[in-house]
Amino acid sequence: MSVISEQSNNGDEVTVAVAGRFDYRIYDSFKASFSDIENESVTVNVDLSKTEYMDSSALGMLLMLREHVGRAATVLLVNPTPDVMRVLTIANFDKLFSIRS
Amino acid sequence: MLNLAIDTLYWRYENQELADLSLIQKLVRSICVECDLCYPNPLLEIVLSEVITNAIDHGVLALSSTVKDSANGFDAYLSERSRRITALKKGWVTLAVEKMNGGNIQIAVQDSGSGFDYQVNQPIKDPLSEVQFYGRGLLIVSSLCESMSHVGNGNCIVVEFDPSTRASNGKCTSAVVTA
Repeated sequence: MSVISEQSNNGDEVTVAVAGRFDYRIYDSFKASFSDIENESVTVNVDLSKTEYMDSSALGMLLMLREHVGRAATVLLVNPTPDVMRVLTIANFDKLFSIRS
Repeated sequence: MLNLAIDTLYWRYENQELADLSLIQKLVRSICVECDLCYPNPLLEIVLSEVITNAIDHGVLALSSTVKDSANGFDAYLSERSRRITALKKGWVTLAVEKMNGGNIQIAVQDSGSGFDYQVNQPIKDPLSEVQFYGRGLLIVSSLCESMSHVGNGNCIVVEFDPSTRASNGKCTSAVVTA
């Protein structure tokens, strides 16, 4: 599995780790990692520390994640690798999302 | 027209060959071997993935990204993509790759589609738009490449990639191991 999802005991925090390639081919498993979230004030940590590759389809999926969890929730992009950070910066996602290194 | 030098690498994919999910990864590896570039090469792979995916989806399959706007848009897009690729009978994508003097790599991707008006259809206008799930592919390509141009009626795109392009602290540590 290239997408691993973990929820804290109280459900306030969800971590979604994407290892390897982040593109449309993992769409089903990425979507499944957040589709059950109903807590409106949840914090979702998208762990990108093991993401070797990300393209524009992944950017679209990150926006879908944020739309799903809603405005009151927080989506953090955590520890992006340099190549992934470059793509995030080109697309201005460093301004759209909080990035934590 | 492109002037193809003798050492131009050329690939052509037809119909169901375009459904191969590892097509782009294989291509990147071949290009890195032939042009003596470091591998893995994620930035080259992103560039190729964006231009080839555009050629297949919007060119050969004539899919519109606006499908992604609807409810469950991504699901609808991917299932329609799969349906059209299975039924494909006359679609093709060609790729011509050439190492230029100076070391840059020129990549030309052409598809069997009817092209598009590239003067009018630009990538996403507001990069800070949160509501549009698509339109960032060519933005990434133009940023990672030295140049990017559409040719003819829009069914061909030519980019020039500098192989020394890599993330700030990235280092080329490995070449392709040919066992």
